[in-house]
Amino acid sequence: MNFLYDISAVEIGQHFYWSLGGFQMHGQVLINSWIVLGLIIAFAVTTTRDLKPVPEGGQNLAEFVVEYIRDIAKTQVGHDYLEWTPFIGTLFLFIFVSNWSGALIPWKLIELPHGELGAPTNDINTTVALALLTSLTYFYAGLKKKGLEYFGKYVQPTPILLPINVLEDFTKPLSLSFRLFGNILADELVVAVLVSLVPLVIPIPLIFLGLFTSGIQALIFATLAGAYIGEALEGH
Amino acid sequence: MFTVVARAHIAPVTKASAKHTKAHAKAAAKPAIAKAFDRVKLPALTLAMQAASMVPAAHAEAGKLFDFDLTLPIIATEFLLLMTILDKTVFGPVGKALDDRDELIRSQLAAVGDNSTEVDNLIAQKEQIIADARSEVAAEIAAMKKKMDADVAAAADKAKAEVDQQIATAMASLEEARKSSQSQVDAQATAIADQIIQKVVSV
Repeated sequence: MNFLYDISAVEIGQHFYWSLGGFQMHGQVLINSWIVLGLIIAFAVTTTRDLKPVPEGGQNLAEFVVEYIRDIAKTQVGHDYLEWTPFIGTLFLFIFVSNWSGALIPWKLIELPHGELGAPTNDINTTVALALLTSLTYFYAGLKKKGLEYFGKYVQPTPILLPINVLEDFTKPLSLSFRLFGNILADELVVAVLVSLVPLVIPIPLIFLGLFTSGIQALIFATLAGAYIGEALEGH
Repeated sequence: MFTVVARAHIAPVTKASAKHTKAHAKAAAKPAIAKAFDRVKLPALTLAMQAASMVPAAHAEAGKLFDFDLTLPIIATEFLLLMTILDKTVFGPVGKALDDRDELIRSQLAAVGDNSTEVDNLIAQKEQIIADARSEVAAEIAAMKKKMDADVAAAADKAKAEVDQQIATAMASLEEARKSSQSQVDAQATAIADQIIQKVVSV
């Protein structure tokens, strides 16, 4: 029986633990998130240092990114999209850069005592943090716009739907976080397993597939966050 | 990316004994697998020990997938921080640049639209000028024609008057001539009559 427990135990999620005041943290996730933050902030600062009416160099990229994100926000949130663009945009950029960093940066070169560096989004803590922030944001958006009337949407269109409407507030962050976490972790695991079997060439198509799904996941997360905010804002 | 298979079993080393006995039990049950474990275990163990001695704060545990801890609030804080920074550096300024450009292009387009009405005005003005010139020329032509008609009429009148005059003088001279010739004829007739009377009388 012990043997069965042993082989069925999920042991892939090894963590490099740090302690702070009796609490534990996943060091590898934090290190990677700092790197991702550094990359994004470096991009933000270098491309927007000198904004011109006619864009040059990096400003083109920054404008493309902003327009792309505004477009997502506009289609999902609707009328007041500008207020929510920073949130949706930061979600998209953070998840996108995180996902791609997991596949593109050769983390193997940095040895940790335990666990491994990878995309910060392959840790449930990160995805749940982002999903909870999304929940808070759409609650905030709804309450800010409609006040306590916002809770009236729970009995719309009929009070019979109250349990389902309440349940929705739990399923939203749950599905958001697990979708992202599962996709990225699975992607990295598949690549890792394939690399351990055939170290060269064969995993490359899978890595490309991983890059593709990573981008899609970032887009999905941002789009859904926008849709939830838009849903909270729209009048009934 | 992940410590797959082999290294996953290194993890419990620092937690030591409990897991060790488990591994031994396994060794009895499955000799082949155990041999493989043993092969990996020694280098792995030393490696783990070294790592543990290097980073005393860190300690290893068996891998957990759903392991919520302080990472969550820290990531949330980092995210909010990133959002503030991006709002200040990218979404605010670049968005403003985009809006400003939009505004500029719109205003320029509107200016071009105004231009078109200006062009319309100019075209109308041109039409007006051409129409004016046309009517002026037409008036001039009409005046000229009138004048010419008048001239022609005057000349014709003059010529007619002259001819009438000439005819009148000619008639007068004719009358004169007729009168003088009649008086001559009368005189001759009287003379002839006298002669005839004398002849008759003499006879």
